[in-house]
Amino acid sequence: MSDPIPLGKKEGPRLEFKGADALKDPEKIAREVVAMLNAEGGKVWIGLREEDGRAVAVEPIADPESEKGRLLNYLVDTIEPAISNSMVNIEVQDQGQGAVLGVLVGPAVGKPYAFLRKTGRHFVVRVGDRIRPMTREEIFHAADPATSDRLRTSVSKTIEERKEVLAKGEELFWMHFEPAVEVSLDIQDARFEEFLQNPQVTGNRASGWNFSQFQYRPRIRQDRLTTSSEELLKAEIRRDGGLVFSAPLEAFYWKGREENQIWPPLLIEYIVSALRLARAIYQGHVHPGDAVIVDLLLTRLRGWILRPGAPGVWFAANRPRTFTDDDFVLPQPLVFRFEEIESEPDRCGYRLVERFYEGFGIRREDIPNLFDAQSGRLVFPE
Amino acid sequence: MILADLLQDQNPWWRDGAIRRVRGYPVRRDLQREILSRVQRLDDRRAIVLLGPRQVGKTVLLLQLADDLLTAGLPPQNLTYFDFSDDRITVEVMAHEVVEAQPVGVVPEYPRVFLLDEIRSAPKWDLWLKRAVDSRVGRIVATDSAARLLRDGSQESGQGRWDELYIEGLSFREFIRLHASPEEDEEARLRLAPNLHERYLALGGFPEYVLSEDFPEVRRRLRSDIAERAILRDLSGLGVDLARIKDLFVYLLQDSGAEFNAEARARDLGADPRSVREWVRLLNDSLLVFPLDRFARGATAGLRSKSKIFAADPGLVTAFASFPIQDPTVRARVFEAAVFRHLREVARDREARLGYYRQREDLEIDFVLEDPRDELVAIEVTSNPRLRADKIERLRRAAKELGADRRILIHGGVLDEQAEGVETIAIQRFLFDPAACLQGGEP
Repeated sequence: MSDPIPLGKKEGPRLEFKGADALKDPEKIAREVVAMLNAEGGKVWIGLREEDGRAVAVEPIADPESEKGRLLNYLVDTIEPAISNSMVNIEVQDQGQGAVLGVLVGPAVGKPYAFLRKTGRHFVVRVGDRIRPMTREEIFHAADPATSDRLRTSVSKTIEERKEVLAKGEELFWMHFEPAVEVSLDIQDARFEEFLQNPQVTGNRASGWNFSQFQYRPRIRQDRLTTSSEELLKAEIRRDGGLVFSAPLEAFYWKGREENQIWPPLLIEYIVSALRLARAIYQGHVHPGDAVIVDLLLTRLRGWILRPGAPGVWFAANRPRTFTDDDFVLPQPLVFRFEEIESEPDRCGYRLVERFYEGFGIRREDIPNLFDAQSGRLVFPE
Repeated sequence: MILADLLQDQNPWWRDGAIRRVRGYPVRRDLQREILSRVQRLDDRRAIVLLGPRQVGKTVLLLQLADDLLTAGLPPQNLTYFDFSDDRITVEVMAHEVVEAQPVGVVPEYPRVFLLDEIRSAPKWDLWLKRAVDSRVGRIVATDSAARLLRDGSQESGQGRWDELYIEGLSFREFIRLHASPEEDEEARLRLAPNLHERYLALGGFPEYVLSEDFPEVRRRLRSDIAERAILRDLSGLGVDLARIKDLFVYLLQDSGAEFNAEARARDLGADPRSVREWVRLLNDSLLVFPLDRFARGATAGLRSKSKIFAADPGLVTAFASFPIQDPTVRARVFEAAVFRHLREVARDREARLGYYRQREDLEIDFVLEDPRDELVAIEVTSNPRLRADKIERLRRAAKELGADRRILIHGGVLDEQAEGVETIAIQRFLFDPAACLQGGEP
């Protein structure tokens, strides 16, 4: 049951009011939500005019359902680690004076949270009815000590492995998954072979671009199941839960007029396919609250080009952007909770795609609109 | 627009020999190489008439031929391209007028080459072509999309004067070639994109749509271009019932690979069975559907049996299917249409006989290939990725009854599996190199 609109009430550690105008600058709302996620949770009301910290009047929101959808998308896109419905939920309330939005912020796991803007990640926390930046120590200690130890170890492991890939100097797409939890996968599980050979089992499309249609039978090698050396695309499932998906960069070329042009749908679908595979592989082995570190690396990318927008009308006319560094490397691998990968693998994939586009200096609005706004699913019409 | 202006516009190399019209289409079809080599053979006076349905790339092939001939050193003024279907033509253009419009600067030591697109639009083209070949006006390549009309008027005149070559939708290997980077061969691209065969099965071999990601839009366009335009335009003027031909065509595609029962279809369409058989022939002559006769040792037994009718291209099956491609029945038809398209090519190259085999309801083989060396190959197709023991056993029994020398099962899996007495071949491997698979070698 929804709370009554708190007219007359005062802002506090778990209550914040914003006027309807805040929807024009959703970053302010994201900042409030993140501050609550890093504290005890609470509720942000949008469409309530506030005077001296007290809600005094309803400022009705026109078309509240659309605004709700837009705001949710914004929060999902800009809060890190990714949020789920159980943590941030937006409701429309209209008790006769016009519609307002209530952003319910639940108690969060996986702290600390940050909101993203051009200048980087911003960690803030709510103290009383105010917000302040988190200190370095607060950020470091936000997670429980055992979890943060495991997280640090797994991140270090991922970064070490990333260094090895970089040192090889090949032209390579490389995605790595590392659960920050002790895992023991049965690499002889017949389902894993099927995941790598039948795309539909993992929710990938048969005619799509994915890491699940290998032509040769995968092989067991020591502690891992790997695709055959005959294959140019590679997948590796390790007993300790590590997953690697890699491909030569030429695999991302798609018949553009220019050489070394990355074809956006292909790149996006490969990334998302890896997330969908990870979901299937980890199910039953990794708990919803466990963290999974995901890294993306494209080595020797200098000179490759990427066009903003989606193939179709005007695509070819959009000015292509050339990658000017040697390698595409995330500043830090991304950390997801498994429940995010389990419930919305495509949305997790989108976050990696977004970072990749940022590497080319391309804005979010110019990423091909292949994700369904409501479900977050990558949708290719079949 | 007057003819001289049209010719100048369509032959820009007359004013600048360095101009190439299709530099942006570097990928060549297999047939293009053969036609180029024939055109360059000066001792051969025969013309080439290239026939194929709409949208398979005849015009691009012709323009690539122009580019390649110029690059090979043909003097630009010796080359004339003309598209008789150019919508700027306001008065009928006769073929001889195109030949007589000789540009200044023709080099007499070289032959003149005429590339004539959509020649059916030129009145009395067949009479002209006969005279042109006899009087050796030059090397001639002509295209059209309506096989029937060419045959009606031309079969006799064509004897010894021109060769009819047929072009279909892309083979799988050509499909891959369109995806490859400039320096890359098909095998390398296939290793980088190991499930391209699934795209081929979903989209088919119509070059314009090969790179599309919007599968429903491709299907919509194929329906519109093929059913609406090809049938209505190419078959108009024959005095046939176009609306009912269109209905029949859709039926044949939706039921691709089924035995054709003219009487039953005639009842459905409210038409005479003889008319229905004639309409199927017209559709076949337009290369939109292909019949497959029942295989029999004695030729007469085959003649008495019903033929199966297949869509010419797997893309046509998906475009007209009543259910999504994931539907097992649709997928099975798509597989069979794709396999048949590739088997036809092998059969043509080897001068082999192709049919299907049925002894009783439970003893059937999808395709039987009998090559001139009398080797009989039984080929069964299943879209199922897992081989079922009963399917393999049925193939063994039917092949034994037939007396087949080899038994092949083409399946929807990605790996070649073992089955005693039966060669199992993944669909991708078969489509990539059907000739090698049928020779029993590794592609």
